Amino acid sequence: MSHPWRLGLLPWLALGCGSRTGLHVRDAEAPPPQCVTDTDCDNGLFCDGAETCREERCIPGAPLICLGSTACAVVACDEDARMCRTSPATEDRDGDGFRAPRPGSLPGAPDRCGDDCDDNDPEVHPGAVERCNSVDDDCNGIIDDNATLTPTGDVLRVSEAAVAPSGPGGVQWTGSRYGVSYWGYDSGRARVYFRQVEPTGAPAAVQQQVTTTPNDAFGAALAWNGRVLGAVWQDRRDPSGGYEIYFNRLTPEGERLGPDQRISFAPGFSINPNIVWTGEEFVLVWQDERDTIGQGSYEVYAQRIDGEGRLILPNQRLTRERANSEAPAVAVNDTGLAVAWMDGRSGRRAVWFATFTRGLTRITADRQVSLPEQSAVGAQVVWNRDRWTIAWFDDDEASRDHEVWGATRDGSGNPQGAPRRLSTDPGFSRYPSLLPLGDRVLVAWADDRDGAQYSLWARMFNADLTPLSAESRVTRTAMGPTASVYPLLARGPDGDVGVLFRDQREGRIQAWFTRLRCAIPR
Amino acid sequence: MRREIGLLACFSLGCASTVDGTGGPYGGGGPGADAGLRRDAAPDARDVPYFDTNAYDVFREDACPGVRPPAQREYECDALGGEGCPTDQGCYPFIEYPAVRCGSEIYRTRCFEAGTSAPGMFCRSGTECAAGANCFVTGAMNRCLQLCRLDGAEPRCPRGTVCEPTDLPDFGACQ
Repeated sequence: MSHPWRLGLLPWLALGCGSRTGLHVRDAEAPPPQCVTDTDCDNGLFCDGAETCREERCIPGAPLICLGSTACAVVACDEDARMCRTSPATEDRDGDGFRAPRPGSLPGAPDRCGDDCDDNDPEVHPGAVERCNSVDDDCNGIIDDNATLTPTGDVLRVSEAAVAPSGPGGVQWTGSRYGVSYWGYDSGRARVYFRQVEPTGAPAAVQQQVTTTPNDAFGAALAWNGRVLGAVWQDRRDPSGGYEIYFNRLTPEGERLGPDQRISFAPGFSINPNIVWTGEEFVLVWQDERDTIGQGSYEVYAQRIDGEGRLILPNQRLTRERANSEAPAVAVNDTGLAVAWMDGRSGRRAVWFATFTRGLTRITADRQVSLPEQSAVGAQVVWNRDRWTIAWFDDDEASRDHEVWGATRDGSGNPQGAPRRLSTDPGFSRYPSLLPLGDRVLVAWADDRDGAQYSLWARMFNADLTPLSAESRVTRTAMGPTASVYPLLARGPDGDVGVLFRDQREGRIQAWFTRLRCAIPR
Repeated sequence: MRREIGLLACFSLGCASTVDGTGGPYGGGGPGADAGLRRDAAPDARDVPYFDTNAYDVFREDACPGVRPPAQREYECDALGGEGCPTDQGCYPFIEYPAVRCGSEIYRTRCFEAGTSAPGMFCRSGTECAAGANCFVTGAMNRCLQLCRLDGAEPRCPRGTVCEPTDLPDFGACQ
């Protein structure tokens, strides 16, 4: 209400100089009245209320209060219409007729005020036709509803012939191709390599050598942040001979974006790194011998790194119990991180689990996930829409059950039922890999049902790990020591899944790639 | 996100390695702490400004310019065939680390008194393990593992285990 008051003229004339009213001089100098009638005070605006004239002074009006607003509808005064109008609290930016949820709420949440799970894509909205594209097209919280993932049967070697033995490091879809890392020996030294793989599964261009230093390097685990890949590996370029953790950022083509950055500076081994992108930072975890040097035991450490490759605070120890804490896996959800690892505190090998904030502050205590009688190793963890899913395999050499197992934990880390056996082969089943799909989770592993040879298998489970499909063979054994092992899964284009694995079908141990093809029954 | 790496021989380095060059309790040079193989016989590599000194160091990639010397192999016995050693000894492979910065590892085998720990048992050094096995950092506790040939020839691995590459380039281990 900054509108200037319009002064009335008549009062001034009546009380002006020269009048014979007996007023004192001081009275004659009093300011002129602001108004005589309400009209004199009207600022022309409707929504700030009606101005009135009282005792020759203009009094602001009371702003109009529009009743009836809700979380999803704002009722506000419309100055042009000179009335209260109702407008929605959310927008439909992509013009598909469906509004985005309110900022800070998710589609499906109470008072969300909109169910368009991607308001920048008119092809994505409630009721849209679900396609194989790794996108929740119909916004029902399920990616590629009812899709089947069928092994293509095509297997292609990724590591060049001269790089052997070699094995998987990491695989990520980077927008137009898969980015694949692997380690391999060349001229007697192990190095980290990178190669792009076409959507068809064919290796593209030539392999990049990521590590160029004179000593052995193994890895690299990869995380994609939409622009660059974070790569973490272990190498012993340090003249002391101990392995340390190194990090670099790679372009989608595998070019390094700066000098390798050494992450751990500690006595003993720092090995088995893993990495995740939280949306804001890379978080690295690994097993570190620094606290028990010479004892052959480890603790899990972590490091935060920003998107530009700058370290955020020093290395942080995550596990506190003095016991073997090894081979950590890490996953992220909207609010924090989960770490699963092999732990020897009980005297047996077991898989344990804990959650942390994104700043690495502990949320839950360490909790054992695997069954007490198991010798559990190979821990994996993913966030699957509303729960953590953990997998491992039983490596008890005295047991007849060497199977892949899984369990789920809610967002607070609480158990959701007992662990479930995920593989059924009566022989040996190992090396699980998880791919979360929202309502389902794809599990791949290696088992030796073909005899002495390992081959890869996959099966779809619902979110609570009930099987939804039969087990599907991903690789076939060949003559000789085939041993398809260590599958790594990455969601690719058109709903496909890329599988990086290790295989010996050409005689030498090398990194190979195959795919699972997506189809949605109509 | 799981990554597979070669098994690491803690026999000669993993369980005992230190960054200060003193070699640790096992000498860092190999089983039996043979003085001739100890890393600490060499000048402390940290005398050379290899890394920056602050907490957030960045490795200097030009620290080892030029052609790297090839890895050397000096095998005194047959660790896979179990030959070349007296009956009460075993042939153990191990790694001798470079004595100087930008040097090269030497991969060695040598006869030592055979250990008693069978494959699968926990270990801290290679000579704890029975002949034909070695102690490896597995990511699932350090354990004795039977040595194997990466090309699939004998000795092969027992059913259920896979011949895994190790950081001893000519030797696999059954896990």
